[in-house]
Amino acid sequence: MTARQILLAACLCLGVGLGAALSAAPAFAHAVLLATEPADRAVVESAPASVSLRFNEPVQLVFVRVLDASGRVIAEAPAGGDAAQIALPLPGALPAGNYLVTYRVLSADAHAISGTLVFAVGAAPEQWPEAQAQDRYAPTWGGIAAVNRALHFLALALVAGATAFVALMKGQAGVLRPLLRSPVGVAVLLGVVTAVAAVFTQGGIVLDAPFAAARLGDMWSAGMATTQSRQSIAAAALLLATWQAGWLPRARAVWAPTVIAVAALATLAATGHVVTAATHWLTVPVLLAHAIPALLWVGSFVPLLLALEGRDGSQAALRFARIAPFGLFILVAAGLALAFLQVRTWDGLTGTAYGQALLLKAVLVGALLLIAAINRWRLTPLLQSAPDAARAALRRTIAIELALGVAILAITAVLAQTPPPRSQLAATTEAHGHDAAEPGYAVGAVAQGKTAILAVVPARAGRNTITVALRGGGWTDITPLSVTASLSNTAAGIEPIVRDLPRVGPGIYELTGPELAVPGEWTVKIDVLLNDFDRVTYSAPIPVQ
Amino acid sequence: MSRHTSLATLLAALTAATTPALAHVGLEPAQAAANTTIALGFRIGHGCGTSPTTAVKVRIPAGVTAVQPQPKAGWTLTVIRTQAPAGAALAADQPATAPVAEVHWTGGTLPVEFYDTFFLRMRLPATPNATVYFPVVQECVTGVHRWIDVPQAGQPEPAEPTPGLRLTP
Repeated sequence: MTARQILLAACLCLGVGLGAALSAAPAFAHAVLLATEPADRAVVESAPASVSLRFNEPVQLVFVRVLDASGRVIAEAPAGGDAAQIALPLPGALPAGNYLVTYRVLSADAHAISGTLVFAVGAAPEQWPEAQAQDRYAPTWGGIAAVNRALHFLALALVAGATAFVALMKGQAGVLRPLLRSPVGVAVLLGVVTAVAAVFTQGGIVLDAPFAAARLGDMWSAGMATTQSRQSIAAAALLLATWQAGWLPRARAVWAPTVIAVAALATLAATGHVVTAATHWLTVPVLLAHAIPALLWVGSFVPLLLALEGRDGSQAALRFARIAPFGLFILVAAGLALAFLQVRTWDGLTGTAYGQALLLKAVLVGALLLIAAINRWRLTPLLQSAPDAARAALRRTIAIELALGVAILAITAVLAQTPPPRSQLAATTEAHGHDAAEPGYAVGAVAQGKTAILAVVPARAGRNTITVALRGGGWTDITPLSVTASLSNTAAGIEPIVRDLPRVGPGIYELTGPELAVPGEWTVKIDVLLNDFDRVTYSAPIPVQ
Repeated sequence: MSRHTSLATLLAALTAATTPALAHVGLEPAQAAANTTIALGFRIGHGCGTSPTTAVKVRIPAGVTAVQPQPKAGWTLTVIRTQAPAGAALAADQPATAPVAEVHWTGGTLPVEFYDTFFLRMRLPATPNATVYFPVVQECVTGVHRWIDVPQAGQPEPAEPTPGLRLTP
């Protein structure tokens, strides 16, 4: 198989990968709606003064509307703002009947979330209206955005990789530059075009806009309002600056363009999941420590291939082989750290689309590292003894590396579009404190504006203490009539065990007992009887070791 | 029209036949025309296991107005009214005009082998085809039934469902 054939196969793989990305078309979003007031399907006795939505992180409002049963908009909030809580005042004295609240917001990682909830004033309807905000176009835009992002990654990798390569081999800059100028030129162009296209696709996702030329202006403005615009503008400018400084025929500098090109890679930290992770002071540097060496590495395969066509390529390959392992070590370590920050649990790795894509990526990276090791310790030493044969063999393996690298970039582009388990965790539990040092397990949940924190210590089969801490809206004290726990483990065939939790302090209810007798995933349902007629129910899975 | 009606009746009969009659609070009637005044009975057909019923408390849902409970021999009748609206100081000497929030019949004894019906007169809301749910708490010498879980479409019926009155056009 020649290098050219392998490259052709790589392009095919990329096509298949992107096709998969398009068909998967993930339309998820990454901020999570925690609670609404009134709650979905709530029946309120009198019309509320306002409707409020609470998310796990600050979101940007695209719209929120309240419609009556005939579909008339009776209240609407203007776009803008950046808060975790959105409140929409309602006009006074709404008559009895059903109401729909439909909303669309952007999370800080530039993904749109929309939904609809229903509530009734007065009597509950026989049949609740269908409350499904169907995104019609956003999923397709999401697929296009993933393809576009993969191409953008590739362009950035090529430009930065080639620029850094020339800097490292500066003795041969005069030979390498003319060889690489046209591929780098194409990559700069691709990078700028995909940066602009990213703004449009983001706008399409935000607005759920149809594919019509008339909407391009709206899509552009909506896209520019997201964090994507920062990355797009910075990346396009830095790519053009790299071209200007390092690749024009009269250019001589090697390090200045490399610094600019690396800065272009760093723009990737301006948008995406890492921005919204709670610890972004940590995730952003870790992301950069992962993405910069990774993209430089993948991007250096092309110049290495081209250099190996000529005899002086041996020198370049030897030098590359000395430097690359340091970068690889950093990128793998940072990649593992990022994976931990986004996934958190083993279940998250195997049970979610994000985790599965991540596993696939890890397998491909493993294969890539294996080939890199063969290159480094078997083929590179041969360059001195049997240069021509070794160069031919190296060109084949580097082409395979390039193919794997492109596939990995494509998967990474899909990952950027898929909600990480970290954000899904927030959907069921707002505060998730699982401290490895302390035995035990704790989750928090909000229902009907009241917060319950449930702790099980030590969360090992046998005797456990189950503690429930309750707070009302605005973190006020509440004094329920009773707090009941119902413990079940369907996998072990254990039907609910119902226990009253005695009050041990203000808002604290606790029971110590042998009920959690077998390991496995238990479901703990907490019924809080607020008064004779009102009950709030929380339910959480509790892993017992 | 009549075919539809008879089909609906048949379905209703089938549903009634297959639904376990025990462990529920029954409403008499089970449905009524919207925007009319009716006397609605809450039928208590059992106690808490073997323990006799000692109190029946009903919460009045929103939209139901002009509530008048029927006193019952051997039971103490208490009416809990909502707070008078702010600025209604002039009405303070007429507290009986504030809307009824809850009605409690307490202090009686209803042995498990007997049944009894507790009546309220009320004006029903003008929302045909809706179901009005009346949360009921049934207290016994030992134990309590809280009929406060509203059945949800597509969900299994709760263990202690809230009785619902269907409003017809």
